[in-house]
Amino acid sequence: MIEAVDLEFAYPRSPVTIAGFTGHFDAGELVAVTGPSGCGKSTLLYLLGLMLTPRAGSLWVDGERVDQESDSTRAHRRARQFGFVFQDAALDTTRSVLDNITETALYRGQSPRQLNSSARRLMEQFGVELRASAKPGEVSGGQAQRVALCRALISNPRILLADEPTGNLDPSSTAVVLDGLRRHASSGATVIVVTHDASVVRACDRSVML
Amino acid sequence: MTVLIVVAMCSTILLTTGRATGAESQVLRSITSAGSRTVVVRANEGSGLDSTVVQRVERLGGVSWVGAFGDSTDVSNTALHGGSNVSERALVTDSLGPIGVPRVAPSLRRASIAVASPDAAHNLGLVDGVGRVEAADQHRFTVVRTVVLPRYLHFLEPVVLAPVSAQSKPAIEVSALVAVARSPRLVAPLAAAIRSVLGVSDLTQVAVSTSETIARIHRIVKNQLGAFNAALLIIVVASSATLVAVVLFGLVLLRRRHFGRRRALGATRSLIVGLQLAQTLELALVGVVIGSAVALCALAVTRSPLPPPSFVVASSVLATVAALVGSIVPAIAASRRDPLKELRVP
Repeated sequence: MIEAVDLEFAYPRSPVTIAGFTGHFDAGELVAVTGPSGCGKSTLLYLLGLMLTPRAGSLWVDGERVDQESDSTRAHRRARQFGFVFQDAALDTTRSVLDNITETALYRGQSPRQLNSSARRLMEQFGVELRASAKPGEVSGGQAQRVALCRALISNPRILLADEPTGNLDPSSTAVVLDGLRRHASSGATVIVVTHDASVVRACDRSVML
Repeated sequence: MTVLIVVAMCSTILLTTGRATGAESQVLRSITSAGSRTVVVRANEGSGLDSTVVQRVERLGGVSWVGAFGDSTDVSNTALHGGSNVSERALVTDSLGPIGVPRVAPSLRRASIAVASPDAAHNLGLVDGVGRVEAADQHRFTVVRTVVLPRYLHFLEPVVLAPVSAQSKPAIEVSALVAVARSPRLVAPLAAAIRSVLGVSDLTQVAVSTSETIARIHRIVKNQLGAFNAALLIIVVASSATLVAVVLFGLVLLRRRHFGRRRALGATRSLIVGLQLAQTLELALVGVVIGSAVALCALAVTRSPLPPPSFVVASSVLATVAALVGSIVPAIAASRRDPLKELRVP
């Protein structure tokens, strides 16, 4: 569970982007965050994902206050408790699809090789098992996003954050990604999706409008 | 790119400073072999300086060789009546290596083996440098070898030397003592120490001379060449480290999205710095091996002076450390990429 209380954030020398956001996201929920462009949806997601430090307010993860933790502690928390899916997949183009999926093991102090079998299971589940040794530049946008989803899910994170995960995808890939997010939420995780897409909003348990 | 820079750095160090160090070693060796480390004691007849001084000097620190020389006696070739006379001296020493003498007699009375300097062998008319010589007291020596004396013994030329153990009894009177210090800087203190263990009652009867002037030249040459090499080394290493920093910083900027992604996925700043440094270390080691090999081959092919192995090892370590130092700022910059700024799609 993740909870924000009066969260406020502004970029340096910029007007306030997030002003007094309060909300909670329960375990097992698939929540959409929507709103017009520039309203701070992605900023909120990065705040919830501990990549930004709020100017005011507080942020709680499973009952622990996390907004005042050190950068290092928040990085460890991101590696162990969070999964991320970015709008354009954000894969390392110099490494294979399999290596991309197992990369996060390194940040949890594990050997990426330990996760090879789990990675292959996830790749089968999302239909990219045949592209294991391909480089991200050699796969389609839909496949890249599925690979990014595999990378986010491989640590079985308690909180999964997705920023426009279906923004560039065709309907069939959108369905696969949404199904993956839904299944992860059903397993007891908190899943938060920033989206413009009305069909994605409809697929979620509830939505938060900014 | 990092590999290439380290290859260039290593090659440059070895081809410039390394070559200069090799040349410096040759120059210093040349100066050293000319006797920059010797202390010579000459004693007047009846001074009381005897062969036991050799053992006393041997016990002093910083001595690499010591030998004492008995009074000169004329010897002539037994096979040539009316041939030239050459000076023969007892050589009292326990260390024969530098002289190339085969063995030492336990006492002067039993000394029968001798070696001749090339000039002595020529003057005596010894065929192939070997033969028998006889002193005025009819004591005979077999000259078993011609030896080229080290430069610090050239003042004895031409001479036939009959080696005798330093433990020989009774002690014999000696007229000269030569000690070689381990390094030129030890010459002055060694001369002072030898003066104190000569065991003669009247020091005016002995003259101690040193190669202090040559030792001073040795030090000056070493210091000046050393300073030049150090300056050259600092310039090469500093330029290379800067180049590594600039190139890696450029690569970090090119790959800033990659580092932003790593931060977003949970990599701590210290982990990113560590990974960057480890990657640089790996590349630097490859570069050091290639660079050293290329430079040493080039020096060998052009018959240039080769740097000593310790210099090659030190320059390799220095090149690796320089590359690592150069990669610190880019690594820190990589660890500070802002995930939101790098990953967000407008």
